Amino acid sequence: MEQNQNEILLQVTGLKQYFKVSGKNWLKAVDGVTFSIRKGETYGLVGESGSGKTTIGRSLIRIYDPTEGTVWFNGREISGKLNGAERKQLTREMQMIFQDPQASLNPHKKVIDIIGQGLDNHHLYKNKEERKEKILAIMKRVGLDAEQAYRYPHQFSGGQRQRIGIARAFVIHPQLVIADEAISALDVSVQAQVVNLMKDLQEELGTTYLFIAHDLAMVKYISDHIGVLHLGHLVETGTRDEIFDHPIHPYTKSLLSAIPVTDPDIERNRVAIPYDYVTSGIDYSKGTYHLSSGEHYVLATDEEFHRWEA
Amino acid sequence: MDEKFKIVGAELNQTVQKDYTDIPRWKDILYRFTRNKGSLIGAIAIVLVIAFAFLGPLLSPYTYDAVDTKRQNMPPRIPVVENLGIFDGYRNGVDVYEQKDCKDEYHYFGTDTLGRDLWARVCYGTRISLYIALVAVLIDMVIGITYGMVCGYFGGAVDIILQRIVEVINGIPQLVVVTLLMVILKPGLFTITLALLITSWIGMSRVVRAQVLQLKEQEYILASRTLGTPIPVILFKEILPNTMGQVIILAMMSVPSAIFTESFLSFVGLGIPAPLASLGSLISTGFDNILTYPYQVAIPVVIFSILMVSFNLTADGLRDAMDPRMWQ
Repeated sequence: MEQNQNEILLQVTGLKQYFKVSGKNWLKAVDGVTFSIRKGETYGLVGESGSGKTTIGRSLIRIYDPTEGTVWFNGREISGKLNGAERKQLTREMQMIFQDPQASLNPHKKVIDIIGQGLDNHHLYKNKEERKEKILAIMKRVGLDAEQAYRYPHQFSGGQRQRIGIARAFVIHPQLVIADEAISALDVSVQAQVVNLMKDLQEELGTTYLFIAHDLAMVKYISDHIGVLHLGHLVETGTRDEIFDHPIHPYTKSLLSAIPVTDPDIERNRVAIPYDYVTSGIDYSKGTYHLSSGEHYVLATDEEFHRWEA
Repeated sequence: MDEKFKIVGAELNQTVQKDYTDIPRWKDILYRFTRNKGSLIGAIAIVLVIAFAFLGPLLSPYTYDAVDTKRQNMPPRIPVVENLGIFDGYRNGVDVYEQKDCKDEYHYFGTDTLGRDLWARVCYGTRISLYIALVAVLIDMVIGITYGMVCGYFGGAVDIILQRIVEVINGIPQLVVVTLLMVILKPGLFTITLALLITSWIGMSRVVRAQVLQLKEQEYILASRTLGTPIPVILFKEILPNTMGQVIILAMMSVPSAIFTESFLSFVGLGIPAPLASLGSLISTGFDNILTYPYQVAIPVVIFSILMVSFNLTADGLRDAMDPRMWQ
């Protein structure tokens, strides 16, 4: 457990993100989420659609302003009001890879300018040659050809477009990259390429990932720690092995039981455990985080925790 | 399987079909634009009309405001062309020029009911209409776009207040605005410009606002924000180019309506004061004599139509040239 020695890069405590729907109605997209990410690690955030995964990512990078809770990043609090310089600093150190590679690239800009945007904003070059050099270097690193620098996004395939998105995030060497369903829109063979590329980049640059996905197999492959999100609550979090080998929360158990197995004999007998929040009698807002073992926390009341543990 | 297919070697290097070098964007656009025949013809026609408007008076000895009651309603007569049997100064088989004893004179487009040379009048009229078109497009482009973008991007209270202002302005009929302006100002080009300035950008601002509302939720805009791009850069470099397709077409649409607004104002006596003329006022006065002297309305109508068609062709070509997705 060497990695436990790594210092914590991102500490999220009680993060709440509400959206006003109408009048006094609030949509509680994220409702009191606590987790932390260590430097150089990958934290996988899983959950069904609508569980608030994307919202968490966007609150962290301040596309949304958090309703409540604190976020510490790199020894500074980034959840309160930010002035221009702080915001700029944040965009320098934290980056995001988006879900839809088509929609995340401006169709009117050349690839070189899309990737160079971060460099432009933070003045990370002395002259035009250095800018071009840096962009071509990162393009080469993510597997794009230098000749493609002057093309437009629509001239690329889905996988190539996502590589452009990755290059755009990595060109300014951020410390934390939020991959918001970065591979969901790609087909399976390309998914593997892109995930491996992300892993390689992590090893090379020591980048930390917040990997948001709903594909459990992929999360298991890439993550060191995993958080399971349901209806805006983080119901269970721990290391990959803790979650996959000893799931405690019934929602996590249900999720894991839904993963198809490649062995047909086992797959034939696999039974997905049903889980229905409404009829289960569980109230997330009453639960508190209980430590099971190591870094394995479960959101439960005392009584629930003892029942599930047994 | 093995007999049918053989691996003859795998080529890992991608072949680059076209050499993409660092061409500035405006050169790209110019190149695409000139490749489009329709838009090129349109652009050339616009240049010719502009040349006609500014160089035309030099080719004729007459001025636009010289009234000559002896030479009323003269039919068009153009040297050289007259030998072909058209524009020869004949009406109903009678040579009007000989009848009026001025065989050595040439009114290229004839004269109007007051004996003023129509060539000169159409030249000046085209100038004024071109000016109106330019003003209308500029107002749309500058005020309409900026207003729409601010409303759409910032939303919330800013949007609510600005939209109410638009509704108030839009609620006052243009004629009332112009009439009120006349109380303090004299009829003329400046007053028409001011009238356009007050009302004509509203359509554009609405379209741009709607576009921005839709575009600002796009992931590439979010990506720009997460990269720390300053708001003005996002507005003008990320969002604006993506609205250009609609903006160009709408700006083109506003040209004929502005020109006709002007002619309507001239018609009710609030526009260009006589003896100045615009294409619109030439058409509306020529229309009175359409059965007896059809050339008086036909000539300004033809110039006006050429202008409209070529504006539309150019706008279409420009829109396609500015959208990289249309390039293949």
